Amino acid sequence: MYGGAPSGGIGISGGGSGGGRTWPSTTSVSSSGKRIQKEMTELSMEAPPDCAAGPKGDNLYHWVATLFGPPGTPYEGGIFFLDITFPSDYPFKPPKVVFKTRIYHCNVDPAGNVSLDILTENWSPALTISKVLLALRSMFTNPETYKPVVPGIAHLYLGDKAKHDEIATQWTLRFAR
Amino acid sequence: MENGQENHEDIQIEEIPDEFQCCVCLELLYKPVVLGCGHIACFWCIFKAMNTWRESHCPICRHPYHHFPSFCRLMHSLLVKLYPLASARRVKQVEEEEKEVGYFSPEFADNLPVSRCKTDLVLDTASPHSVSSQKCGSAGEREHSSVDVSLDTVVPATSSSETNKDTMSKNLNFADEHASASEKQVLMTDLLCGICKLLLCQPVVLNCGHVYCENCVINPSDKLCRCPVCQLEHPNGYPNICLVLEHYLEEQFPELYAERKRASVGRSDRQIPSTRNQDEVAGCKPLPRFDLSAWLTGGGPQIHFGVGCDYCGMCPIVGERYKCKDCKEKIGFDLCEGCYKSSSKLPGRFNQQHTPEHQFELIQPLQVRNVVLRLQPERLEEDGSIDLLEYVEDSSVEPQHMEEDSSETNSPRDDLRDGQVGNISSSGTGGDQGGRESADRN
Repeated sequence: MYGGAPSGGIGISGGGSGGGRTWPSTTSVSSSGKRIQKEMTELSMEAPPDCAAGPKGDNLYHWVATLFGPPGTPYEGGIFFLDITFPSDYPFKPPKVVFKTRIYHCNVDPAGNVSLDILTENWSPALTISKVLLALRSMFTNPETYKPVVPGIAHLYLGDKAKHDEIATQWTLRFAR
Repeated sequence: MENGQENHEDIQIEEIPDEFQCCVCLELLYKPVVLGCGHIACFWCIFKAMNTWRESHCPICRHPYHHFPSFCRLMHSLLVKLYPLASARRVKQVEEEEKEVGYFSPEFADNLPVSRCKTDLVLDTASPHSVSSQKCGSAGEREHSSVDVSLDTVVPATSSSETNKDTMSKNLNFADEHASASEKQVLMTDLLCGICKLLLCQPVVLNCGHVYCENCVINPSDKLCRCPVCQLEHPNGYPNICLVLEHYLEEQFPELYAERKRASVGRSDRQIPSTRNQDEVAGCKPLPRFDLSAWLTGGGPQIHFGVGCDYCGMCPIVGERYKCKDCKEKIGFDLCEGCYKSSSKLPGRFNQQHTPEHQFELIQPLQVRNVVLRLQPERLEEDGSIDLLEYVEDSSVEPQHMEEDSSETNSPRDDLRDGQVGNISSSGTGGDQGGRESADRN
């Protein structure tokens, strides 16, 4: 018996090193589509608070999500748009999430890429977009300052939170309204 | 095809409770697999979520595991009974997917006929012949004692024809409009422990897919948990209670279950270590550690990346790998060393038509030097050795020169025990010969 598609946990490229045999992925596109569709219906029935997500157009694999800055944070009042791209072997590979709205946050790089462990090495196929959105929301309230993508912002957050919040509020006013 | 599915959609009225929904595909569990931590997902969902390079982790709790469990027949037949329409739809769905991919999940003796019957009963009223004839046949089977029936569902396909008839009759019984009391009766006979023959209490599902009461199958003095039916050892410590199944039992038989629980608690105040502290349980086989640097230098245990054992489910196979030369299925048929030496004659877990007459060959795992040679043949130095240091970033690994044709004859067990890296034997004559020698030595 052969295992499924190698879910590259270690640094060996999946292709050539598999002993010369590259087995077809056992994930059919239709099964990922079904799962995405399921998530869509579930999201439309009960979306997590202050979040919304759905396909951008005809393509089921490209979504756009909206996050409202949670009250009590410098992001309050802001509306943040995100692009979500599902890989064809979703949910066995994580979706790609990119902030389209500029945000002053130590876990979001200038290009909008989010550094969230559950979107990379800690992804689990049991996670859903609604859980990812919840994680992003909690990222607003509690930035992960130990593994920042923008160390400067993390330093400021730890050293001078008032200043950090001030800049973040300014950015929210400028870009997220 | 599309039309048919829409039809299904219309007719399907069953609400699937969250607990019977697979956490991966978000649909009704199909051929559910219960991991050692007690969490459940579909057979294919677990298979696809497994890491073929190293140990895998439960999608829900990230508990590590190294063996792909067999699917739980008890839960499968329970779900088919509870949600016949949704199951029929899932069968169809998964069959299509399997056809597309070319891999097949293990056949469940009564799976096909039952699903067909269900579909016929509900959707295809135009063809009642097959159903009615099967009903006639099943009427005679009803006299079977309830305990026998439940045991048959637990025993793997050794007596498949018997099982087939029995389970089919049960399912048809259920499909008929029976009083709810007898439905419950049928359900209960399906939920008995194979050891104490009573209603399951704190059910645990072993790696082989069989279900027992925790107190019946786990004996703390034994250190290991062995299935009394198929004699397979449950790897990686003791299994946790399958909470989904327990909740169902609690809900379905509140008084009986409470009574069973009281009795079992009174009977034994034993400390059953859970899988979470399995590492501390002496005598438990430790989870093999996959050490990439050891593998790169060729010193670690043999690891057959991407290959799983068809008996115990170990994936990737650590140690020796025996590949069936006669199985024609695309997915292949492989055994780990332990299962190759055991006399167990289980069917392949991907429906391979493997028989005991088939011949095996010993397969050498992919060695790093082969990769290097394949990628850059010009790196081969004149004396036929390669400086691996260039390819290994880990500075703690000592540079090692390997003979090009030296075979890796380390026994994996040795390496696991004393954890040494290196120790490369260059005496082997390569290929199968070397591997066998090492097997004999142990």
